[in-house]
Amino acid sequence: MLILGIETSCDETAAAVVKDGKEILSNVIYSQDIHSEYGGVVPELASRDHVKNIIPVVRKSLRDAGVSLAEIDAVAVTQSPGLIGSLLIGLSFAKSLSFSLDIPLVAVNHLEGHIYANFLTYPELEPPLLGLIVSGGHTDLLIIEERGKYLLLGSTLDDACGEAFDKVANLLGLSYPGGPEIEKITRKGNPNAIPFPPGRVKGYDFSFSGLKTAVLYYLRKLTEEEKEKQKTDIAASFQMTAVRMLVKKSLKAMSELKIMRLAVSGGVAANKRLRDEFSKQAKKKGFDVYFPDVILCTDNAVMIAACGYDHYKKGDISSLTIKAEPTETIY
Amino acid sequence: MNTNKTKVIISMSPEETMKLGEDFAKALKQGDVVAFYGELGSGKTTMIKGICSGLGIEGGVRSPSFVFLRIYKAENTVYHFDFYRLKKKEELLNTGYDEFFYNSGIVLLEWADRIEDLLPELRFDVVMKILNENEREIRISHTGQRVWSM
Repeated sequence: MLILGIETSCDETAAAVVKDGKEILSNVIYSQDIHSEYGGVVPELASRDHVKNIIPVVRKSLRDAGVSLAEIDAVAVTQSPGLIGSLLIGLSFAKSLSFSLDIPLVAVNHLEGHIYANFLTYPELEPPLLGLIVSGGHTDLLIIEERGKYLLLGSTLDDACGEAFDKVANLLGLSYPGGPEIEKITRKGNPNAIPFPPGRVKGYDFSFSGLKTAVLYYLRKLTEEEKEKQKTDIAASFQMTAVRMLVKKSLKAMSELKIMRLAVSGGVAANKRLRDEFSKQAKKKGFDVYFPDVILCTDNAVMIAACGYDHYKKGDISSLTIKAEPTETIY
Repeated sequence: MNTNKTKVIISMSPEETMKLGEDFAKALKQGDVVAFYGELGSGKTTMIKGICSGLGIEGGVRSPSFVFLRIYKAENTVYHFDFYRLKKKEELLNTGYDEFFYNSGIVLLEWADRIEDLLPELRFDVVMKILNENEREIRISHTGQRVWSM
């Protein structure tokens, strides 16, 4: 069974063809190259310009997979949460395909998609699991009771983890997106150089705003010359503090709830330092940690197609009248 | 009591900024737009948390920097925007978000300077400045003839 997945909930326009919910036939995320490849004008600002991107992206996903539209059995699309204007473009496009090809439409929640990134990478992995979704827009700690059944334990009270990375990158004068930039320069930095205070909140919630402000205060005391000199240490120390906050809460939840396996996903899960630290600390306690392939961490349509496959199998087909839901969660 | 003029407050902590937001919420009515200006870490989201709490919204108020908009529902619907990631104002026009500025909810806009000429003419302006590690100067004014107090 071939599912075409479509994802336009935030910045990326993405499409993918996935066979039987696990075999990735194509995985296309918009890039400037695709526009040029199809002879379009390369707009200065193409990301989030989903209307212009969606047709070239879907076409490329079909071509990369070596299939025609007629061979697609169902279309899965991100319906929630996200930017309403962005969601609507993917959803409307998917509805049109569903209607014109007379194939089922399957609405998928973006967060559930992130969870499925791990099921794609580890086909044998089955719940119950502890889940951690860390991205630019989300920092959620949850219990994955079974596929399709999730319980939220805690989330950020202010800034999402990826957002903190981006804002600190901005403070350090690095370019956007901040996460990869910080990771790049921290390779030479000392992660224990500056003792930034970790955000402390009760229970399983997180707070990253205070850490961001601590970096800001630290930088304000430095001259431009000192800033430049200490940049890598500041970035490395910030990154380590943020990662340790995530590790600490996750492992605390695992110990308290006696869940031995943790599945981390979302854009920030691509961070190598985060992966290393999680693996190291979990090992000490005898826990297992899973991360998706890096390519499946950031927003993509493969995870949407894979998640859509399970919904389809359960008969969870959407009507053509469904609406985009900017705030709906899975909890 | 302070009516119809600029109010300048010095906040000494995030808790005070939050409390100030709660107090300011009393001045807000359906259809109001509040534009926030101030650098990273100046307390925009913190003050908005206070405003939302003052408007009867319980929890769930977080930074919308990545998602641009969060919507909270209580007696009034609150549209919490954040234009931190907006590079050009045309991006906003593409999404049609500016339509939210003219409806019956209460609109709170972070990084309002990024969309300056798209801002509704009648609005509150809240300018937040970092004075030092703990102190913030918060300057609240209304662009029209609105009589308000907090």
